[in-house]
Amino acid sequence: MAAVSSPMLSLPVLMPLVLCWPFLSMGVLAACSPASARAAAIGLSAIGLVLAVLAVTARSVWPATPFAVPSGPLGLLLPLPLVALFVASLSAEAAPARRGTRVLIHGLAGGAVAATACADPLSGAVAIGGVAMLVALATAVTRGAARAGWDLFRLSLSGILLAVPGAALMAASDAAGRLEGLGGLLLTVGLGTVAGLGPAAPVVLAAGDAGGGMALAPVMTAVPVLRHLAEGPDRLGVMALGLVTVWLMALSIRVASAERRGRLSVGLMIGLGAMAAGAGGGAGQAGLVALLLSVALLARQDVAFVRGAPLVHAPFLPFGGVVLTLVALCDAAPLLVFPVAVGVAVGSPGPVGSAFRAGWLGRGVAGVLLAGLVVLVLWGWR
Amino acid sequence: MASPLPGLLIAASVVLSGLRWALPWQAGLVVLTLLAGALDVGAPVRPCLAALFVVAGTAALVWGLARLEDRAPMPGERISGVGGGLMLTILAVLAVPRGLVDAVSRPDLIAALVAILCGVLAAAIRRSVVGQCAGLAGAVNGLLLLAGLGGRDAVLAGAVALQAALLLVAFVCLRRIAWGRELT
Repeated sequence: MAAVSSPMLSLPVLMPLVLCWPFLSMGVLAACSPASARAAAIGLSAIGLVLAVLAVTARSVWPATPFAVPSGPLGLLLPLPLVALFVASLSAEAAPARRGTRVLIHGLAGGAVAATACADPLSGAVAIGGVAMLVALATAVTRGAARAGWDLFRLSLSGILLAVPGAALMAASDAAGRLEGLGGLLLTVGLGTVAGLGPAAPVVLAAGDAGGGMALAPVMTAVPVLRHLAEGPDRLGVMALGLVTVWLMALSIRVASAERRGRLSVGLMIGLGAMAAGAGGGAGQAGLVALLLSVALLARQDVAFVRGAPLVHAPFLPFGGVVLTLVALCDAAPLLVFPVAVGVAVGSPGPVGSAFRAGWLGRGVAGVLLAGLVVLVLWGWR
Repeated sequence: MASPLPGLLIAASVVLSGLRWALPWQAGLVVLTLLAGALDVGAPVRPCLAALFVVAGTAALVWGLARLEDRAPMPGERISGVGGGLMLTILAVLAVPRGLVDAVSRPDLIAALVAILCGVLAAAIRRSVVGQCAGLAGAVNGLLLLAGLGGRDAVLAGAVALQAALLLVAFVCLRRIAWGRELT
């Protein structure tokens, strides 16, 4: 590819710029006047997104640090937090966010990109802990949400307290056998708890209702967590957490109000992403990317497209992710194909039909999801 | 000669995790274990630094938690805590192999893991927010023990950051919950 060999793109400054840009944006936004804050947020997030795409194209590395673009299809996960940030900046027109919230979600995106770029699980777990703590702190200090914030904080801190020693045990020079297994188990359970997988899912999703900016919290934690779990040693544990999440979300969607269905569908796709990450292989990694790209595009609940979302129905990108996940499961764990397929069917009750009556942003998101599936088909499953 | 400190710390973690009044005792045992480890290893700076953070964080939390209302644990919570803690201890003993792991001796590593696991367990099963906070503080002390004795700088920095976050949320958030400004 011509772009890879371009000397401009292989500049060592590209990856540091990608990682630092959202934090620089925080400072700029904090200094902006309220009248120009929205335009500045859109511009800054668009520049950050373009830089991240360039870094992925060039497979950029920050020398002498653990930061690098993940290998293979997982590299496409790097810009996803910035995609969610860009969509959120565009959609803020309907509900003007406070300056503090705008600044905070840029910091969240920066932390999520840094955690995704970490090459080893130990630095990744520490960075994910930073993101999770920021989310929980922001929720906890919101007026009227002290209890929800405390529950989210307790959950996140418990997860990180399990994940960090797990990663440290795996990184120990003489770790082998049982100890590596214990480290992998602690890492999987801990990071899964942070991302709202398994029994932690309802608490995390409920806490997302607390503040407008916190709607992005699930995607900001799920992207780096699933990036590290996809390369972790405990694939079976990841699939088990994903299966539990899929069924918890599917059963909740059946009885949920229309307002909550969008958020639960996002949880369902994160659970399916965990199944894809656990299944591994080319199809699994491509399915993980497709599902998390859908999550990044749909994470903002005030995009009207989400409310009547067809989500996992054809012909949109999540459908492609589900098919790829099932293909990967056929190779890795054929016995899990049936419960996952039934869970998806149970969790997708709504018919297609309301997607294109949304506003321009909803139509744009629907178009990108449709184009994503077309690209996926043209590119091939593997 | 084998030190009794890791054994005492394991017993304290299993029996006392999630109890506000027991937090200084557990933290004291963590500090003593860190200082004993500092005498054994050639580079005592990191264990002493970790001990300093344990003392500072625990003192602030104990002072803050003492000003909040707390409910005594129900018998079910006590049984779940102690029973679960014993099971986790057995699992940790079975899972950790003999010898040094990343410069940490096996008893110290088991004691740190048990402190972390029992603290997280207490935070999950205690209904009182003060008890939950005490459990999390015990788990953070366990992580500081692990980081101080043999971990890397990233682990120690992460543990200190988690301790700071716990202090911040405890002072901002628990005050509102435990003083009845919001529903518990």
